Amino acid sequence: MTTPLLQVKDLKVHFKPPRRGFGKPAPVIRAVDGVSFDVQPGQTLGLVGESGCGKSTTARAILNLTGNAHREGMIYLGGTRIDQLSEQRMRPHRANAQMVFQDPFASLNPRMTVDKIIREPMRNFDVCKFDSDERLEVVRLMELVGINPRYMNRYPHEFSGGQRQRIGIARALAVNPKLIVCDEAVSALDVSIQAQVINLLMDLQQKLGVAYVFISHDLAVVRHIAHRVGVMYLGRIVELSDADELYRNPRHPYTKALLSAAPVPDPEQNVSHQRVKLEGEVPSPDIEYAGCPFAERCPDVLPHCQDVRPQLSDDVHQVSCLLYEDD
Amino acid sequence: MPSSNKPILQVQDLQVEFHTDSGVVQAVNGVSFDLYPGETLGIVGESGSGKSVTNLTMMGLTPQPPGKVVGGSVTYDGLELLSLNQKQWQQVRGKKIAMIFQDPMTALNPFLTVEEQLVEVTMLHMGLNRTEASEHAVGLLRKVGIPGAEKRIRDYPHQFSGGMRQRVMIAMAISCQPDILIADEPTTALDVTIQAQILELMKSMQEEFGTAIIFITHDLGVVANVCDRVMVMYAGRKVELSTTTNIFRQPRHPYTVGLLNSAPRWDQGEEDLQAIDGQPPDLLDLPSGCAFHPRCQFVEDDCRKEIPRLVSLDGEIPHQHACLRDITTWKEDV
Repeated sequence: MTTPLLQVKDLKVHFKPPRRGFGKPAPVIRAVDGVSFDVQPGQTLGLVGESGCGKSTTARAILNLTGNAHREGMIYLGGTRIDQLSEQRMRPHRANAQMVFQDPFASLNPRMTVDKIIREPMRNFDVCKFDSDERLEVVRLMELVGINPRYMNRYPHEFSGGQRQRIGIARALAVNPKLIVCDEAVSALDVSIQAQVINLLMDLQQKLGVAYVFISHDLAVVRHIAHRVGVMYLGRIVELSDADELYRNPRHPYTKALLSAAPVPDPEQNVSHQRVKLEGEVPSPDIEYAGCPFAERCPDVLPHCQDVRPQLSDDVHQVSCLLYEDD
Repeated sequence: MPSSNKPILQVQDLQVEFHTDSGVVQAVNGVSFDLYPGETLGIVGESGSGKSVTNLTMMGLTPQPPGKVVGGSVTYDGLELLSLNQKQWQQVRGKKIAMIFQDPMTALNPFLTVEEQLVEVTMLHMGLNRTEASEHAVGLLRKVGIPGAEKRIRDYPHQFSGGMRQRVMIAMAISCQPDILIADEPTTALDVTIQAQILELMKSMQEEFGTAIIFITHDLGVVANVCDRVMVMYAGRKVELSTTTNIFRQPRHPYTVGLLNSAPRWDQGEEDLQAIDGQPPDLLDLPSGCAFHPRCQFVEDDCRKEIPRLVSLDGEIPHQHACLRDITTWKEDV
């Protein structure tokens, strides 16, 4: 096995809300509470979960973008530990790990032309020696993501949502990163355009060998793009496995419930479909659980689930559930 | 399932324009459909296909200007809705036809408690006094599954989670037991497990009151799950309408085929998604002929010149589609 491109070990990110008046200090928000995973070069790790499960915070933490939040654990990028680096010492590593954001309207500067948008990261990291090379590089990148280079002097508002997302991808690729973190990168797009962008991301991976951490709430999208998938609940990974294995043979009760709640575009399938119904909502992440945080909603709960904290198992199909710990 | 053969709502040749600085947009262009009591009709289409404008018009909520209803008719139970004045609209809106919006936070008034917003509807339409209306409202909140309804009713919208807010919206929409419920992307902003809860709730409300539901969504999974019939829209026109099973099993419009092929499925393996090429149409500058022709894999010369008329196949299951090609035979050639 090759050395992983990205290693995350027992990552915790806790936010401390500001004290309100003289009252008791507000409880700490445990957005990410002990997450570990590896990403191999040229592979895609999908992270799925509902809002508030900590998937976006995990994405930001990978890139050292969590600001003043309290953080524990270790992050290695290409073998170097990066989680304790200052912003300045982090800079050279930023060329290796880039990000594509959800909202293609908010993530591109409306006052910059496409040319400038793609060129800015190249300048920051001295990708090209000469101005003329930069221009050629912009043309190459625009062609790579399927936008006619003729449009390089246009502004973001002149493009549709899908095209803007392609520009965002071109910008991320401009510094030849080894890893791109995509945070809900296709969620804002219409279905037909979403499929185009998913196919583009997969093509680029084949051509350039770039690895993705692909974060989404959409289970179907993740199945298509990811090699490995982690399911998150309340700041923890509850199940982590090869994509095919996870979707065919989900083990954690939460994964089962999540999959059975996701509708399938097939009328007959839905009739035969046995629903695992999940009551209630995801609780607030400001509670510290002694046992399994899913226990109170779990359909298969055991008597000791409230007291014993399950650990992510060590096998190929990792699951964090007491149901599987005895055997 | 449709429980009677007489439609409760008929939309005929509806045309809505928007006058913008850069030109006139034909947001809805000759859309017709019937809605039967107790059924769920799905309206599917991408951004800008005119699905939301169609439904706002049925509620008399098109912003005018810039919007303008140029032609067509919407009849509810024999009553022509498009010629109503504001006062007459109030007798229909909320009472006979109610609406659920995508974003419950913007649809609810943040300055009023849930109680005040719920009693407003029933006091106006059902002539209840304040105490009766309050009791009615608590009952509704219980019905939509809000725990501790007696207490929660005095909370403000921001004190509810997204799913709970959508339940409040549904409680408000069903408070007068409307005949028609228009749901515009009601679950798009919600997580899947919450979405499943809300869809279930809507189904049980429909069974109890026999409400006809128009369900606007871009999520084909949700459509397959809840709709009896589906209308597919593209660039302001109806391009296909049939039963849900027919639409998914034997789609006849290339756009519908494209939509179905581009929707990823979690229950199926790794085959590539077949995206629809090209970009959604610019409504200010629609392609000639069939608006879908630049993205269509079955395109021939006449598609560029002629706007296809809607063809009705009156078999056992009625199926309407607007395409010059017969793609069912095309498939065999390929």
